[in-house]
Amino acid sequence: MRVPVQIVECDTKRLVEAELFDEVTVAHFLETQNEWRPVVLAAAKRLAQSSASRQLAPRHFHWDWSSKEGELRVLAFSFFGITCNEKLQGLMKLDLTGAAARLPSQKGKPVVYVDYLETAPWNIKALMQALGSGPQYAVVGTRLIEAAVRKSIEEGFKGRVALHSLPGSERFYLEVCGMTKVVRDHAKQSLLWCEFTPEQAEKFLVGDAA
Amino acid sequence: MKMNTENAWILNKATQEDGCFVSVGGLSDALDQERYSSGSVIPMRHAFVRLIQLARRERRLTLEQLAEKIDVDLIELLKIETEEHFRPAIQTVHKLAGFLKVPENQLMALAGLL
Repeated sequence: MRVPVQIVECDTKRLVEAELFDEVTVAHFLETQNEWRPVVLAAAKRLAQSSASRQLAPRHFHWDWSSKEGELRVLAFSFFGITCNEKLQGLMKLDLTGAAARLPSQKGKPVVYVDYLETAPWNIKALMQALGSGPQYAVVGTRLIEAAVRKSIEEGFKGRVALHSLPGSERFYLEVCGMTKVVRDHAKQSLLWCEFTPEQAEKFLVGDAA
Repeated sequence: MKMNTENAWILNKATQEDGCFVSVGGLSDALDQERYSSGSVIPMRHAFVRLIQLARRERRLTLEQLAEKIDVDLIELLKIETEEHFRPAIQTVHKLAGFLKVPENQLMALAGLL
């Protein structure tokens, strides 16, 4: 699957063409290692030098997407990526079979679980500011979550999506996406379990007009 | 898969997003691999982190300066100080013990490695 999507160039606020795809390969994982990681490390170094707040320190710098290679062929998982300007801008892994809703109104119903989601470091404001510039593209994360919701609908899960948000990402999932804060999951180092109900997913997809 | 093509929706989301972190899952995945078997390790672990922080402060060293001084990866030091469940490498604790001039075995125990 390859679908054109528009994302936003931060400098000009213009919409630019990007591509959402699900044919993720090992080459994409290597791209994150070779292209993303040096930028994350450079930003982390600057943040450490500046004694920046821990909230700003990237919590995902230890991710190793290449370790996911073996999961590419597992049917229970779906991978999505977004490219723009011939560069990988974001990557996501979904688990389609392993999780159920925890919200009382949805309890036990199947959800698409976002196991991993990461955008390129040059799309994260705090990291780019640490390096003396600004982010390149916006809505990469939003587009990936949109893909997760649409995948949930395709699977018959009615848009139900769940994830464990890293501490620095909670504002995005609660305020930008409109997910529900369900519980601090002590089995996952008190990360916040967030969920979309079918109604919230629909509202996210169409915006405030819903 | 049909994606939203409304310009207003996209631009509105861009404004709301404002370049924030959106990451999911890495920390918890790491914890699955690095989880300690005993909860009693945690207070000792806090002591380990506190010891390093105090030593840095006393010597007026940034994390980067300490990393360079003892030839340890900066990212590993950053993880030690910021991630409660991060398990440092034995070699790193060995170097830290030398730097702090404390018995290596005791520091290993504080770090949760013994």
